[in-house]
Amino acid sequence: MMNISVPHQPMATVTMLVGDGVISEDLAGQCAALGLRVALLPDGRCDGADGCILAGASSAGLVRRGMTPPFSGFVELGDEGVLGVGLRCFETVRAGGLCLSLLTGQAYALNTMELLSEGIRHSMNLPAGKVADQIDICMGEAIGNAVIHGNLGIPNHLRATSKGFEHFRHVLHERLADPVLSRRRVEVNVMARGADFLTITVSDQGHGFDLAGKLSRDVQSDAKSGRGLGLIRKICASVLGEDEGRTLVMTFAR
Amino acid sequence: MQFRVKEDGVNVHVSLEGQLNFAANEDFQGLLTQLCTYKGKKIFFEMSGLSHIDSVGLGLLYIAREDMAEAGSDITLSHPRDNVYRMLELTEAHKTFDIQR
Repeated sequence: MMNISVPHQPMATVTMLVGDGVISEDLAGQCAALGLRVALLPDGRCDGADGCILAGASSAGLVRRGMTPPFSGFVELGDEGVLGVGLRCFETVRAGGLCLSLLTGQAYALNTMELLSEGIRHSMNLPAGKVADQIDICMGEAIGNAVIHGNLGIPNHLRATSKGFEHFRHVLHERLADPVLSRRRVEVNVMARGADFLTITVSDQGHGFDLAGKLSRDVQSDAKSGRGLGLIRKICASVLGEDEGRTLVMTFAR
Repeated sequence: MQFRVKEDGVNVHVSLEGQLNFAANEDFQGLLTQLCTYKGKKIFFEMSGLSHIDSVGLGLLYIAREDMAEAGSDITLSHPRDNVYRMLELTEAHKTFDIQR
């Protein structure tokens, strides 16, 4: 029998630096299982790692720092540490991309799109202008959908009139206060595809929906809701749905 | 999003600042309530301070327009930044709103 030797490719090392609090035994164990080195700021360093993620309770300052080199992303630590964070987040950082994982409450409260936009322009050398604006538009739509329709499960039609809007606000408050729904994660992963393309995935942890059906629908110019996916389809070089509609994969020509 | 409302006797000027997006709900409800007190006025939404608008924010402008039309008022969108104007263009907002650059 021929013996084929496959060259050993060591797994890229990812370090997670915890920006506030302590590293519990549980968190240390979770990180070990995920192949992550974990250390506390300010003593921990990103030196020698192939990718470095900042983690902690999220604030605009910490998220912004996580989106800026030497970091390649920010992960909000929930009560259960990194349980529930998608593996795609760590894989993206290992492969040289940028990741953001926030619980729904913070994804709603922070200016998530602007924080991401700053990080992408910086880390991916994306100049200001039409393409960067279009990427912002699509990210804003996808994050809004992931929070409102995905994780909080609020349907579109509520915002069709000012009366409906009042009801929408009531439902929104109720659902943001729900400990199960508000702990669902919204995750954004960004990868350069060669010099000419950029892929951004936005994922939620809701019930999923018929993304293909929604993507193929035309929207009236004076519609008060339901425009987001149509806009994304118009702008992106390609759009795909994964995980029964919980993940939107958008590829942009740079 | 933050807003400021000023009336000069003939027109109402609403200065918008920050992001008009899916999270602007409370502020916009406050704005709608305030605008309902003006009847038969021309309302200018000054958008130069707006850094981002998404389709939800745009939907809120359509709701405001519908409510204001019932009160005999109409809305003009003024001075959007380039990125906000791109969104207005992509969604063909000019078919519904008067837009001043």
